Amino acid sequence: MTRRTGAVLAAVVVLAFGATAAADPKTIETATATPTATPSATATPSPSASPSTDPDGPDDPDTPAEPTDPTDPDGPAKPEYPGNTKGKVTLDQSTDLVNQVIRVSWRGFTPSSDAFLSDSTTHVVRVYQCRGQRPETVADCYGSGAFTYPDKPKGGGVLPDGPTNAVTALTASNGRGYADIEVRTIAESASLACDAVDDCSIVVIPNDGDPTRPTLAGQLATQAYLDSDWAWANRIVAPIGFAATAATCALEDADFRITGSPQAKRLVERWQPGLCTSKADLDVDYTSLGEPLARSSFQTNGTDVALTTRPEDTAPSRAFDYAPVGISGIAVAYRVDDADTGKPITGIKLTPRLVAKLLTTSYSMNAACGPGVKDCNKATDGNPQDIFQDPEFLRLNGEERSWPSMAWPTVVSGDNDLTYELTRWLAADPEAAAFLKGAKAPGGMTVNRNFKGAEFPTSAFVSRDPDKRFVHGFIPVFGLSDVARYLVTNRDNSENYVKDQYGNYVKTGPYAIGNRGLFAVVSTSDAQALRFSSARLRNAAGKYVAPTDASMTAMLKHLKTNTDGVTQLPDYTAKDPKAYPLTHVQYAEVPTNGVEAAKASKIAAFLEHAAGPGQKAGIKPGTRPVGYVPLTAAMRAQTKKAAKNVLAQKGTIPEPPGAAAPDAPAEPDAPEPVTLPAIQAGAPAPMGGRLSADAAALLGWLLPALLGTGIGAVLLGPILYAAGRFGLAVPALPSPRLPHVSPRGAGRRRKP
Amino acid sequence: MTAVEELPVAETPKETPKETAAPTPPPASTNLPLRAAGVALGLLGVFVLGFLAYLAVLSPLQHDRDQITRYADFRKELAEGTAPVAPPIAAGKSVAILEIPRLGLREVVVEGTTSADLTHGPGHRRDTPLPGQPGISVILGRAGAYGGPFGDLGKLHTGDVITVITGQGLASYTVSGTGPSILPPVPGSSTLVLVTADSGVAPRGEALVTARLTSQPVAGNSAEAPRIHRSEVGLSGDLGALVPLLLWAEALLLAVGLTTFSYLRWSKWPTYVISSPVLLAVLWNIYESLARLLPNTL
Repeated sequence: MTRRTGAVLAAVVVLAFGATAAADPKTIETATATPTATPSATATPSPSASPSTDPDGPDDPDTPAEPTDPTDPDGPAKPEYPGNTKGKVTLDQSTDLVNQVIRVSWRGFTPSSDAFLSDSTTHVVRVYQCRGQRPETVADCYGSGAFTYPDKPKGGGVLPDGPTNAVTALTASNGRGYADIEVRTIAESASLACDAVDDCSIVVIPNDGDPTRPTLAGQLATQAYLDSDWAWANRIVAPIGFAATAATCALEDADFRITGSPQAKRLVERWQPGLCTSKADLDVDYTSLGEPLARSSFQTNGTDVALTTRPEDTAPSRAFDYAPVGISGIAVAYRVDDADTGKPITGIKLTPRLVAKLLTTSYSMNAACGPGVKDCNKATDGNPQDIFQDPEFLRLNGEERSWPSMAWPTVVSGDNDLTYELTRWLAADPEAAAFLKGAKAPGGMTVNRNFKGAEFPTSAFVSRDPDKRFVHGFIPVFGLSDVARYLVTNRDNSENYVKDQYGNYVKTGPYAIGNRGLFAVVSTSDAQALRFSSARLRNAAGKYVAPTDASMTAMLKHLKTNTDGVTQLPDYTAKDPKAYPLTHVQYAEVPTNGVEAAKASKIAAFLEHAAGPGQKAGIKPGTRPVGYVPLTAAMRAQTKKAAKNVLAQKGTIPEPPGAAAPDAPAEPDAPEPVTLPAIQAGAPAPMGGRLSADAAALLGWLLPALLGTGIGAVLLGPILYAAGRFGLAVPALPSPRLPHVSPRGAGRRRKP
Repeated sequence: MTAVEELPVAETPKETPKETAAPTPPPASTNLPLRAAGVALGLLGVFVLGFLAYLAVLSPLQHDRDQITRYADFRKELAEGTAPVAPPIAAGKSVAILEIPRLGLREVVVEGTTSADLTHGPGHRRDTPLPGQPGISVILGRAGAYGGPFGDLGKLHTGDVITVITGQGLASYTVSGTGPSILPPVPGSSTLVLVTADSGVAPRGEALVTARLTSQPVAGNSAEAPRIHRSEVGLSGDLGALVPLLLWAEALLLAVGLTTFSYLRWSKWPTYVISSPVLLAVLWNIYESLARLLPNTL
């Protein structure tokens, strides 16, 4: 979205809500503390209304991602809502929301008493996501102590959808403040049930204490009383609307299925509702799945279209084309708070070797050896406890800072191209590669001994350390978007390594804001939509670069074409000071032979969208979300060409890939000949049985034949009997003994 | 219950001639061999239909009842930590709980894949690692008879989730391939293969679903895999069932003989009352033995 359209959008939103407020005085009444409130929305949209494209906004990892900083510079002007007597609230996006983080800013509030949040801080502000456009009580707001949900009207305060997304924040001395809140759709929070039909709201509650007891303000205006009636009376309600999702499409009768590329999830899910409501009327079913699986599924006709980052590495069995559909990147996102001030730290720089240390669980964590420690983890003996005590990290990011302690890094489980490319990047860096092979890093740190002999690149993160603290600490998460969910809810995926009284390993709860040391490997789309801070990674030119639209676009000049002539992978050794190395193109593998014309035209229409309107930035369905950069002209041409080939359906099966992709050593995920458990004593059948054609035919008809025989016999039997008894049309067979038998039988029967 | 109703029918044609013979003098056309053949054929038809009715109606009941008791027992074993996780595991023991949300399926998996084992539920092939452990785990299940737990396997798509709970915890898998061919496994990973017949009525071959582990693999065991018998691979019957079949057939012969004797020498209704349950029980066992001769994944 351009700045101009953003401004227009913001203006429209302002007018819309202004009109709502004016038309419905009740809203204003309930939403304001005193009758002197001015119901007009007076903000004038500034040129930089949409932060979603603001290069200094979410693209910049230095942007504070956390709400505890009350010194927010006057943010871009956005829609405002009439609030209590003096306050006004602005949302940076209030329509077409998906699961994302939005910024809620306010001005005209009473300044908080401290610069850092504590239990005694007064005039704190709480930001809730609530059910309905006009929540009646705080019980409609997720995370409040009174929260109730429809199926369980009693017993408030329960959090059925995981940790709360409510944010507690402060107001600076100039009366301004802001909070970043994760808004949840019905998919993340069934109890709020916000979707395209059911609107929800953001409620900002400043606690200025009980006006009838002003002397007690020192206690009553603290965060302990944020759910109180006086605070609720001061609330400012901002309705929010959610974008249509794929749920609006007729997916049970989808035109075709797409599988793959978790990195393209937000892009495809943005396109789905746009495509099924457009003239093209395309109902596209999409399953996010690790690319190696998606590719083999495509080759065995398990899916109509596969999305992948890396090309096929085995001989294809279908005729297909690669069509670029999107460009995203891998981000090492973090939420790290200064241990002294509790404020989020931004601008963290990482070298490939530091990333390697994180991903190989090479820090000793809570199993460090030392004098008097009995059962420590020998595999990490001598290594720093965590990254914040690693001299290499401290030299880069400031030794004088007060760092927190680190939680377990969160990564995706299973086979993924993301994992492969990230570890390929590590292996391409001489320092990191040497470290992974066992060389000592400066300061004497070595890779976790359990990673001895581990091959890099690898397509799956694995917890290799059998130490109980590590087994229950570093647990890769299924689903790339779930990795982001862990970070946005301030959690890692670890659990207590000692069973509780019920025999369960209790999951680690969310870390308190101000006390976090969380890292996660996510896609840039999740990182930007959820406003994570993303680490500045050292590129081959030795510069530390954050993933921004500019730095990712810069990397597009350094893509190497693979042997198939179409797909491209980044050259991690390219020395471009501006380029963010972990930038990847997502390709659709589309069938070019053997698909019926109707389906082919639908797939082609999808590709036309991908090459055209789908690359336009925006917030409406069908557009390109944040975290993706637009395809280059050459890529669009390739996609359009693939669309033509899909329509023609005259493709041939491509040659098997010759040389491996750029600097890809032995492919650990290259399928090998199937080695199934052999049967020693039985037939040489690998899985179950193999039937000869004759046996199969025989077996196939066994039960139907039995049924036929049974029915035939039951019918024929009585007929035969009747024939024998009454001589119906059947010539009598010689039966010499007949006269003797029958009377004898009858006689015997009468005896008793 | 069809079988129950049909049995008296089976007896009737055999006895009616004797009943009607006395009042009506046999007409000249009466032909005993033909009548006997008719009765025999009718009885055979009822016997065959009874078998099919057993497969269609009674065998699912038997399977459901087995599952309910096994689920209760296995839950206890899981809670106590006594669920078996490494060979040797006796055939027929419960080893896992298999859940496929898309199909609404929840079955207790038994150890062993002979036709008899699979009457209780899906069976874990004994020479493969347990689900969740590194390697390729194979689970066979029936497509039609005994509840046909795997009859809907064809409805799975790539990406669907399968979870298996064993004594080592929960393993979750994602379907990676369906159809008759198997995707090559990734070395060092864990793969689950579900095997069944491609039809519950007229099978021609096997249907397979391959799924890859998405959770962390649990520790495998180094014990040597037990050898399995020919009857434990898919689509194979168990010829060992011939012995019980023979014995039960003899029992049936005996029971029929006694019934006839008592019918002729004693009286009609008491004989029915006494012999029906005996005949039914014997028939049930014959049917069960016969079912074991059929392919195990049917």
